Amino acid sequence: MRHDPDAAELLRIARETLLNELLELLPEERRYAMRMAANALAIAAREAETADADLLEELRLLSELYGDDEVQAAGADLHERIAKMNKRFARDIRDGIFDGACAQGVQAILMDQVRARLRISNPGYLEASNLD
Amino acid sequence: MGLNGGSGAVPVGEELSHGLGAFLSEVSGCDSLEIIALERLSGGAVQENYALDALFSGGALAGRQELVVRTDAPSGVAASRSRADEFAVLKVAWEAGLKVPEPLWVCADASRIGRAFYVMRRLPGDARGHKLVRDQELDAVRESLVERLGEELARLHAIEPPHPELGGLPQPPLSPAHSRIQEYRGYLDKLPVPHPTLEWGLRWLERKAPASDEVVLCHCDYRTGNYLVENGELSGILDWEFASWSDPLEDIAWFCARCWRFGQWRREAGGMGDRETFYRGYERVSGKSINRELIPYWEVMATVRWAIIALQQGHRHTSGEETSLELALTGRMVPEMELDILMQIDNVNERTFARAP
Repeated sequence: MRHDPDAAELLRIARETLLNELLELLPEERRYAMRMAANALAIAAREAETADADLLEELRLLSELYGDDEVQAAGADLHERIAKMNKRFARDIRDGIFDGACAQGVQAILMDQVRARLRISNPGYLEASNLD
Repeated sequence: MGLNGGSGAVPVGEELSHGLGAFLSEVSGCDSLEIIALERLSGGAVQENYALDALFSGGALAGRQELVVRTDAPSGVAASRSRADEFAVLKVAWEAGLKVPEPLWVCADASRIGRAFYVMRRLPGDARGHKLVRDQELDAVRESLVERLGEELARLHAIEPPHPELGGLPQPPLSPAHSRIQEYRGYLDKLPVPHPTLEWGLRWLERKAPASDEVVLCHCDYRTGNYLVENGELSGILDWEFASWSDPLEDIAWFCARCWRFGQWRREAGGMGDRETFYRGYERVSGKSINRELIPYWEVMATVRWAIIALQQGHRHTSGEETSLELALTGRMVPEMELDILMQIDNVNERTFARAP
């Protein structure tokens, strides 16, 4: 930890302050904007909290498809590798490279990628969908 | 995007009021005109809507009139029609007896108020989706409302190409499904971040594309949030800016898609009522049965479309075109739709469509 409190903690306490101390002071018609702001802070806090864990997970999924060597060679750092490999993944899907026998496996990888993103942007949606 | 008044209305400047007054005097042939109120209505990211109350002395609209003026907004969105084309569609719909605001005059000349606009009658009612799906006073009439919405859609779909008044619309596509896929890929290519799951959805849609034997006039945004309800009855269908020639199932599936139920998942027809009730109204008026086998295909198409709209909205924020917390958060909703797409595909993958390859 470089700072104490860290970014995730600052975002969490900022959100709590908005919701617990300030929301009630607003007239009803302005509360929606405040709730949106609180939601944005919650997403940012979850994103800060995972640090690079979700990126590493995404890279691992891409390695399953293309192999470690290809992924390592795609860029100098994590962000560049993911951007390049996702671009290639998207292009390959469009070109029908994954139409055949591996379709089930690709769909499973996409599902993992989407789950990882939802855990940050809206974990409640993920939970509700599993119950559906 | 309702045209109902209420909160969110903001006052507008002299210039607009003056330009509109001059135009209305001319086209209505009145002796004099008094503008009583002119207010910008809330909603409408693509267009701006103004509520206009005016007193006409003489001419075609003598008396006090409640009108709506609809203009282009500064920020255009792809695939939306020009005001003149939208006016033409609204006129055709009005003449076909649909429940829509009566279109009055169109002005394609941007010099009058700074941009193109048209004028229609203002209808009473509430269009807000979140309210409509939760309003307990509507519970007793939900099924009849949904049935009525099915009937109206069938009336619209009775209009077929070519149509003398609708020459401004893009040519009817040979394959509405393939034409949409191409359009959506074009949007994705304009965005900076790749989206494998949306590509997956589009590829699936391409491989499963059914042969369409029907192309009709579609609203292309027929859903809860775009119609008005007044005293438990449908009072008007709004927002015709995306109308185009397409497969009728596209409209039917858009209305029923999960993303337009405003959280009321079990009421599959727009969060308002039963899907079969909606179909019943449609089938009675059209005299044709809806191919239920194909609805899941078009619902995947609907989710992909909504995901792409959300991406575009998020990008409007990040590109600086229009900074807004709501737009930014909409961009972060995309994984929700991606999850829906994967689950929808998984659910229907075992089925075969009319002419799947």
